[in-house]
Amino acid sequence: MIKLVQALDRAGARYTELPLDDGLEVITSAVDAVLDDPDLDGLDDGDRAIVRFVPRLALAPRTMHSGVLHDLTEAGLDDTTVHDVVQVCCCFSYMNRLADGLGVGQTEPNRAWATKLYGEARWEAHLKWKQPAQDG
Amino acid sequence: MPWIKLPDDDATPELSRATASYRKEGRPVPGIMAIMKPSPKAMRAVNQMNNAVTFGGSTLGRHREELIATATSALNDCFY
Repeated sequence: MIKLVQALDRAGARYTELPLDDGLEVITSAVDAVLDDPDLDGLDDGDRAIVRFVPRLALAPRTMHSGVLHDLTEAGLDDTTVHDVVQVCCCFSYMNRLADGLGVGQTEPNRAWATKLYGEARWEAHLKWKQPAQDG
Repeated sequence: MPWIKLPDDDATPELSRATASYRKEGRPVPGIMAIMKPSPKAMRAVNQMNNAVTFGGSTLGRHREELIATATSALNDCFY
């Protein structure tokens, strides 16, 4: 899971620098690379289809169409499951925006896992980001 | 520290009710919920949404919910 998170984080950052189609291609490639890693276990076909699906909905909902859902049903997910996948992605997208929109950051007790995932420099940058702007 | 001023947990009767369970257990309101203290209605509604859609409330099971939550947050570059 750590490799997946790190790959998506890097790809997500790169995505914002590119035109839409190129950005989605970067993310698709990153996801494929992680899912093709023989050391990655614990994900069934449905999980893999979900991991391929989430980036499009989270970052580029304007590119959604019925064919995208077809990839999920092809992997064996029924309509209720597809619905729930979309709901969970939407819910966390909402919570992400709520946190980032109002400056809700991580706290010291979570420093260990955060630095394991993203490194000390990113943690320090996050602490600075959390600080409210100074007046004047 | 959040970027907006937040009222105390018991600043109004409505807010008191919304934060009652945390105060009863003697624990602080988590940051992501506390940020909604300006609107106790939103806090309650979001809590209900979260319980209905995630945290085991969906048909996906915790494994898939965590998978989607983690992927979504990583893509959105959300540290929280």
